Amino acid sequence: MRRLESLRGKRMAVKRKKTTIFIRRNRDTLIAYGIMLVVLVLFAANQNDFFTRYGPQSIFNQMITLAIAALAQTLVVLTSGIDLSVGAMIGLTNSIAATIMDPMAQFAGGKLAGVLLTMVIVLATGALAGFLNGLIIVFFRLQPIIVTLATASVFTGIALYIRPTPGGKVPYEYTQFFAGRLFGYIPSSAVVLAFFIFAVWIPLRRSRLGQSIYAIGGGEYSAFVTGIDVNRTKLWVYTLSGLFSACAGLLLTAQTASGDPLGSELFTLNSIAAVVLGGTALTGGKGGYVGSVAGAVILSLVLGLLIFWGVPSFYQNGVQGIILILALSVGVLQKLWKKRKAITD
Amino acid sequence: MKNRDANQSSVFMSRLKAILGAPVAKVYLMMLLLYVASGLLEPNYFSYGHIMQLLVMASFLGILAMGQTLVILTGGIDLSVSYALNLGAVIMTQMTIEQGSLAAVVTVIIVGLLIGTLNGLGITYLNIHPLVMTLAMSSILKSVTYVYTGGTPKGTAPDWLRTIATESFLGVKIAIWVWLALSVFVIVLLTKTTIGRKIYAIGNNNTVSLLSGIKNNRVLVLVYALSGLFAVLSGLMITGFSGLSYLGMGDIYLLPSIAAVVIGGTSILGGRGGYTGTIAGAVIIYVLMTILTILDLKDAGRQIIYGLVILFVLILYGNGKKLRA
Repeated sequence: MRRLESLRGKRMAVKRKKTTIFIRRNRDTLIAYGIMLVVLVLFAANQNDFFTRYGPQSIFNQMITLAIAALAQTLVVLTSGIDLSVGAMIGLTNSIAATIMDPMAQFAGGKLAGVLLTMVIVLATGALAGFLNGLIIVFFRLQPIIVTLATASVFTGIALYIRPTPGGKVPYEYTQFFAGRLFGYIPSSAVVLAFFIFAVWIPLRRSRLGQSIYAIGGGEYSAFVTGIDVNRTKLWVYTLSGLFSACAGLLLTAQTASGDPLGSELFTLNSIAAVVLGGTALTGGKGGYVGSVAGAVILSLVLGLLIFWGVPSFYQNGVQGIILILALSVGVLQKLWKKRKAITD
Repeated sequence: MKNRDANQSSVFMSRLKAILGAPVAKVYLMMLLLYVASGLLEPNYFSYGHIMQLLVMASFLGILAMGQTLVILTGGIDLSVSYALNLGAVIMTQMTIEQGSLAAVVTVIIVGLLIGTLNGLGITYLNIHPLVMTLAMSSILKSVTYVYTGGTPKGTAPDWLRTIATESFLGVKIAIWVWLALSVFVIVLLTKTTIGRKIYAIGNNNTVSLLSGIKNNRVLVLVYALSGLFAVLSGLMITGFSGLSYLGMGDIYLLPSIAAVVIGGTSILGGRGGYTGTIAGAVIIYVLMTILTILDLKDAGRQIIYGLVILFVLILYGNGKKLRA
C-alpha cells in the first residue's frame, strides 16, 4: 500500500527531485565552482592582505580580462565552433586603444570625450573583426577553427602595423576607473564582471538569440529544420565575440596602461581552457558563461598561487597544464567511480 | 596491332587524367605557381641549389606535419608538437655530451613516443578534447624543456646528425631522402594498410567506426604516438641543420603545421585528405615565407599576407555544404 504523503511532503519531494536534476545537468559547472572555491581559499590563505581592501581588488583585476575573453569564447563554443582569433582581437583593440587615446583627447577636445570616442572606435573595430570572421565562416561555409586561425594572423598583422612596438599613452583616470575602485571600496572589475553576467549574459541566454545559439550547438541541421536562422545567429555570435574581445582589450589597456600587439596571444588558449573547465563542451549546446567565469577565476588565480608559493617560473607552465588535465579528469573519474560502485554493489 | 596500341595509350591517358584531376593536383599546381612567382621576384631562385635548399627547409615542416596529418585525419589536433620538437632537440644535444649520441637518439625516440602516447591516453580514456589535452601537454612539455636545460640548452648536434641534415647523396640532400622515405611510409600506411583505413573511418564518424568493431582507442593512441615521434624527428633534423638547440625553436612551426595539412586538402574535421597534399602544403608555406622575405615586408605585412593566403586557399577549396531542409 502506498503511503499517502501530506501536501508538505509532496512539495519536499518535488524540491528534492528538482535539486537532483539541477545537479545532474550542471554537474561540470558545479565541479568547476568547487575547484574555484578551493583555489580561492588557498589564494586567501597565502595573500596576507586578502581580507583588507586590496584582496578582492587584486583577484578581480587579475581575472577580469580573461573572464570577458571567456565570454566571447563561450558564445562561439556553444554553437560548436571555436574562435582562435580572440587573443589577436584583444591585442588589436589593446594596441588601437593605447595608440589613439591620447590623440583622441586632443581631437575631441577633452580627456573624457577622447576616452569615450576611443572606446567607441575600439568596440566598433572589435565588432567588425568578429563580423568578418562570421562572414567568412557563414558565407564560404568553412570550418571556424581554421578560418579564425588565419584571421588571427591578419588581426595581429594589423595590430603590428598600428603599434609596431609596445607602448602608447593611456590617461591615468582611465586606468583608475577600470582597474581601481568605485566609490572608494568596490573594485571596478567586480562591477564590470557583474555587469557582464547579469546585464549581458543572462538576458542574452533567455533571448531568442540565446535559444538559437544553444539549439545550433545541439545540432545544426536540427536547428535549421526547426526554422532557426542559423546563418544570422552565427553572424551574431562571431560579431559578439569580436565585440566582447574588444571589451577585454579595453580592460587590458586599463590594467597595463599600454598597448602590446603580441602580448595577448595567451588569451586565446586560456579562454578555451576557461570555457572547457567551466563545463561547456567544445561540441556545443551545453554549458554556459556562468561556468566559464569559474574557469577564468581558476586559471587566473592558480598562476597567482604558484607565484606565492615561490614555484620557479620554469615550472609554472607545466603545473598549469597538469592542473587543467586534473580538473577535467574529475568528471570522468567521477563517472568511473560510479560505474565501479554499481558493479560491486 | 594498331588497336592494342590505341588501347594502351588510352589506358595511360585515363590514368594520367585521374592523377591530374585528383584534388591534390590543385595543391601541387599552386605550389609550382608560387615557386615560379618567387623565382620571378628573385631570379637566383631558379637554380637547382635553391630548390634543394627549399626542399630541405620545407622537410622540417613536412616531417612535423606528418604526425599532424594523421591526427587531423582522425578528427583531432595536436598542439603539443612544437614543444615535443623542442624537447627532442634539447635532449639530443645535451645527452650527447655525457652519454653519447646513440643513447641520445634512442632516448629522444622513446620520449617522442611517450609524449604522444600520453596525449592519446588523455584523449581516449580521460575523455579530454584533443585541443585541450594537447594544449595542456604543450604547457607541461614547455616546463620540462626549461627545467631539463636549466634555461640554457647545452651541447651541439653530433657530426653524423649534421651530415644528415646538410650533406648530399647522389646529388640530392640527405634530408630530402629522409623526408621522402618517411613520406612513403606514411602514405603507404594511410592508403594500403588496415590501420590507414581505420584512421579514415574514425575521422569520418567515430561512433560508426566504433560500432563497426574498430578499436578507436587503440588507433587513436597510436596516431598520437606517431605524431609525437614525428615531432621529435623533426626536432632532430632541425638541430642537425643548425647545429644547436634553443628554447622556443618549435614555436614557429606549430600553426604552419596545421596550415600545411589544411592547405594540402585534408579536412579539419577528419576523414578526408592525406599526406600527399600536406607535402605540397609544407612547400607552399615555405615558399610563401621566402616570397614575404624577398618583398622585405615588415612583420606586420607578413602576418597579414600569411593569413590572407590561407583564407584564399581555403575559399578555393570550399567544400562546405549548404543547409537544406
